[in-house]
Amino acid sequence: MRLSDQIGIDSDIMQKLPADVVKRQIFIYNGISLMLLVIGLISAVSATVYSLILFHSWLVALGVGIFIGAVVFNLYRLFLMTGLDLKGSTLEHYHIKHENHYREHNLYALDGKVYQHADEVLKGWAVTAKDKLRSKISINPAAPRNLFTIFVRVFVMALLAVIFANGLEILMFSQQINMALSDLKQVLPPEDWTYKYILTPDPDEPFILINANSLLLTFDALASGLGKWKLWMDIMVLAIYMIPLMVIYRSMEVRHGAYVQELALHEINKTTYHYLITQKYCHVIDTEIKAMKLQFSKYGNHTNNIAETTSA
Amino acid sequence: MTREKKYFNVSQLLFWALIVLLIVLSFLKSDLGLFNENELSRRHAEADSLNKIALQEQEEQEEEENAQDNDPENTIKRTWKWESFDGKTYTLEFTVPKKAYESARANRLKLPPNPNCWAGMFRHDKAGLKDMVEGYRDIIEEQKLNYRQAMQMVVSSAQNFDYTYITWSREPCRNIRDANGEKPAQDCRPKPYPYGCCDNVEPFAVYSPLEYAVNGAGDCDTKSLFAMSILKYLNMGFDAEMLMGEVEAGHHAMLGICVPNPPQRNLSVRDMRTGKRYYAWECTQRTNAAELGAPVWQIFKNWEVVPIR
Repeated sequence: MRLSDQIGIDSDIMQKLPADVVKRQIFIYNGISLMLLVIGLISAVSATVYSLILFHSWLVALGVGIFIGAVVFNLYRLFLMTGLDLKGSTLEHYHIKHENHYREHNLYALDGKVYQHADEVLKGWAVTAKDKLRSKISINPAAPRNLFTIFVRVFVMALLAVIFANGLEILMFSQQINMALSDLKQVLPPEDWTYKYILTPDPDEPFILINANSLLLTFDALASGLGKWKLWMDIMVLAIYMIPLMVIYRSMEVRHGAYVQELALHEINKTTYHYLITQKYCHVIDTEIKAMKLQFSKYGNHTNNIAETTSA
Repeated sequence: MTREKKYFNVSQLLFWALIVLLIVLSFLKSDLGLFNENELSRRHAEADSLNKIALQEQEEQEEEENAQDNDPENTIKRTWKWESFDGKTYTLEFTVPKKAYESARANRLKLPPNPNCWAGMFRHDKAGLKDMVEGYRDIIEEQKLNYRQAMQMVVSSAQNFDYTYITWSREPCRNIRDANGEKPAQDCRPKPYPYGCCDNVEPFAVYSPLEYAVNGAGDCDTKSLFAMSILKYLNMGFDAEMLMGEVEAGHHAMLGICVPNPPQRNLSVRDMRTGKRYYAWECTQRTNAAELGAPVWQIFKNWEVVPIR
């Protein structure tokens, strides 16, 4: 199983492309898959850190971490794969309205004849039409994108990045945060609420990782301790989360790459084949129904007879 | 490599470089000194006055010990005599421990070269000025001064000494010229015109309140900081802060007081943190902002309140 399969890439649809193009496309999607797996892992680790502070239990924290990591991985996968559209490609004209394809490749003219041919023949017609369509592909790199959907994706991922950046930084600087919390504990009087309930562990639930019961105090310790470095670390994690989205939207190899075009052709081909099959079996079923010589008025007479009997 | 290929390759490289950097940082964090463990407790103490006392306990204890040193050989004795706005002449005798004076100077040199140093001096000098503050308190109680009279008495004492230029290494006395183009006298003592000038007062060309109490040499920020500090140390409900901004003579500092029913003509600055309005009181001249309203400046722009805690 290829790494790119993890984000839903079907490399079989690139069979008709030159080997070097296929190799490059698989290399790219393998790279993106690996990035997404790392982002999922960072999210899982970060969620585990948050859960450790909240629940003081490795079992619960790992469970939450794995769940959140999987959610983020799948969410990102969804954002990436639905971001692969055909804006700027001539295929868009056929992909969003398949009738254009049928019309241009004389598939409408076959409506009355398809029943005479085997399914394999119909499949061959659909493939031929697809191959003709492939030869018509041209790309306009300057085609505008839907900025709103890009903004929504970037905003959601940036929000997640900032949230998980904090968890990662808490893990990285856990020792230093504990020292800062220890200093704070020395300053506070023992009867202070923070001292008693936030900085003192429950006898049954010892602290794990961070010696505090409060996420907010941990954030405060992290932000105070790191100062301006906190911003730089956040930006680093933000950049890590943003790079796959940037690749999808900015890299011509992905945005207008061979895989995206082949995927669109594959979808058009499938629809075309099913269109022809549907035409064929509509004709067959229509012919069979007509051969049955059904009496559609029989039930109406029966009802009338009942009515007559009742009145008599 | 084509430009198309470059984009993905560079992005991928950047991604892994950032991951490696994060891993390296997590190992080298201690060596790089990215994290300041003391900052949380310091900020907490600043935010909570009770805990601030606890955090600074050791420092203040040391200052108290200095202040309690009554040996005449180890103290500096000063007598101030001045006339307040009520026409009365007040006399204040006080002592300052020599150690406290030296400590105030040493503390000043450690502070940042910006207005934040005012708060550092204010916090440090409290113990050393204990005797002086008690003297002010005695005057207020003996003379039965009301709120405004007490404030005027304190500020007039700060205004009493002649103006002295306080400069730092960035702008030495030899470069100073007054409005008439006159050079100041090469004498770091308060004296009538031409005024004296103190060179190399680092880090921000301002003396601490305790140094002003001993030497009497001060310009706008030194005098304003002294008056504000005494008003705060008295702990009798005076609401005073430092103001900084620009006037026709350039950058300037004044004392800010928050008083009910102030004179309408007075210049004022709103503290955006608290919403309070502080009225500017010029401390380098004999002006009585608390009652008469005496704006001495025509240009008054970019002024802000510098909270001193």
